[in-house]
Amino acid sequence: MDGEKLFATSCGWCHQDGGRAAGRGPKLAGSDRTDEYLLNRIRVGKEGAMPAFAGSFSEPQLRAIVAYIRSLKDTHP
Amino acid sequence: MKPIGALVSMIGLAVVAVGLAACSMAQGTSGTEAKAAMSDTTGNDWMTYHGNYNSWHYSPLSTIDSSNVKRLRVAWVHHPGRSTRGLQSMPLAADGVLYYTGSYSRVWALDGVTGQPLWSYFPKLNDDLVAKQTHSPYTRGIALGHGKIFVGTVDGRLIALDQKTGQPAWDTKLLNSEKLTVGFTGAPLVVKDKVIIGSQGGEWPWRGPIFAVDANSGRKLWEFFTVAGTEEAKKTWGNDSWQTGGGGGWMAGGYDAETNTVWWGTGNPAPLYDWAGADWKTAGPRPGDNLYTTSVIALDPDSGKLKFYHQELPHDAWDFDSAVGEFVMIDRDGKKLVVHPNKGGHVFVYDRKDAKVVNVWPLVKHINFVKGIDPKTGELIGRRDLALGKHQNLCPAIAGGMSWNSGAYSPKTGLYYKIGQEWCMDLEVIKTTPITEPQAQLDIGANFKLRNPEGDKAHGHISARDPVTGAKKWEVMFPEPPLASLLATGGNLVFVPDPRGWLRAYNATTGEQLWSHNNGLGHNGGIISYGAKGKQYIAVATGWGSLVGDEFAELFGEPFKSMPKDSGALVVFTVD
Repeated sequence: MDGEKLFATSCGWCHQDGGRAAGRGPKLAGSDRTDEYLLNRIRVGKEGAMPAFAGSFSEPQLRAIVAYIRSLKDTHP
Repeated sequence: MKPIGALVSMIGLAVVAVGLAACSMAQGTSGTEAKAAMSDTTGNDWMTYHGNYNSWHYSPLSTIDSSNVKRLRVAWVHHPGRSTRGLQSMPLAADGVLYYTGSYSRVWALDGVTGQPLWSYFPKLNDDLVAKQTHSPYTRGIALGHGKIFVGTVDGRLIALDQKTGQPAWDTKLLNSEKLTVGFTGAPLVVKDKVIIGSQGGEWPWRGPIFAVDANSGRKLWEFFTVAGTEEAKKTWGNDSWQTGGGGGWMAGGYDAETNTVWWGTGNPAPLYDWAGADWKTAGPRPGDNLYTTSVIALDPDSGKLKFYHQELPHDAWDFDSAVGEFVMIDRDGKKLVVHPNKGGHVFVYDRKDAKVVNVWPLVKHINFVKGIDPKTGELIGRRDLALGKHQNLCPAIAGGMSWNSGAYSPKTGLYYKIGQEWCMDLEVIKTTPITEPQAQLDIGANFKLRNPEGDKAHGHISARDPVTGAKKWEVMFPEPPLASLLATGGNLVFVPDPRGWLRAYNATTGEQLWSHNNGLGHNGGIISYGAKGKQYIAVATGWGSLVGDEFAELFGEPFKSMPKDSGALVVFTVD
């Protein structure tokens, strides 16, 4: 499961520079949220800000996306 | 005070005459639709999303002019509530009543003089689907005709309401939004006895249809797929990629009654970015030209058949679609022309009889996705196709050189007023796993970050230009691109709702600022002028938050970092 590819398919539109920088959505690199929090946010979204992806990604895909987020180096201020 | 009708300028009357001529050509024209063709005989009404079938966003009303605009004051305000992502809607006005939509396709009819609600309608939406949608839950407008108000929903329905009572007349499910995620956010267009509406598409992997529905019964009459809508078009999608091609027609188009032609702009193909780079004709996720994405298409409203088209960006590899923008119909030197802006930053001028390119001119300075576009043929010169890997300073950024809100054309000055956006981005194109069947998933294919253009700062501008040649008469710079629609009036004024919350009025001839008012919240929607009980009114939607506006906090800081994205109001002005 390639979290980077999944991210570039559906997430990079808002979480810019592959999640390394803030843009339409917040920066994800270095997030202090728990894995469960991130998984749940991807599943159910946030009204008016982020779509719910529970119907688009399987659980292994969701976990691959979170693993990708955790692999990002926090380089942007 | 004299009735507004008596104050319409001579130019305004000329506009009416053009409209009447156009109307007489349309068969089966109802009284309401006749008004839509020409913004009615008095100028008091605003009958379609684009003001009238000419898409001028121009009111001939001239009571408010340069001599008294300084006395413009708030007449009334209406708060719709639940303005998630702000109010993005273009109001309509007829016979002294103002109609508009808030987020979640909520519809109001308000007394045009007092703002007193006459009726409201809140459709029940599929909340699970609303939660899935990237563009939820805004609605950009409605259509009016045959005694009804028509509104689309993000869960794929088109609803007709009785104009007098707000009671539903019919409710037709057109899209399987539960599977496809796409629905309707744009305004419908009434053409004769039909209501035409285009679906979302673009980065959603399906085929982006445009529908015609019987205005009286709600029965679907035809459906045209903007992706591979003909056998010829299907051949321009290698490897059956047409099945997930994107497209769509998510903004209201225009209608040329003289030739009975509906003009509509189409969305971009999916995925947005194509790792094949320069080999896009034979390789990558969607090999070929990808018809009819990023195109202007001309449809027969009676049959739904394609009459002709022009693809503004063959194999769009940048998300610079043609769904944005108005179809400004003007006559020049005996030629009947239509002017259409493309998100990539160029304005296309076409012959209305066949969409043959008459001219192409750039509205924005920072464009490098092509070296140019041939003004005689529309052919792209020096495409910058983006192969797998990193790319710097692509201009404009994904948010476009122009966005979805409309400019304005004044027959009084002969000038076209339009917002330009100057920004760029760095990106990395990534080979994603191909999506081979329609599903509820964005299909992007890259990571990116917006940035200042090299040697410049990201900013915006309003310019007044000859719509055919692009020759610039005046320009006003803004620290951030304004995102709302513009309004030109018979009082020789141009109104510009800006992103910080200021509504400004300019002299349409010179660009001199004459008046401003702080509405306290960014503008990202529509603006109209209408007349009621002898007075002229200006109505503007306030409220911030959209896929373009969401970029502002990071790029420009305050006031956008703290600007709410769940507020909005309809603010209406007049002079005493």
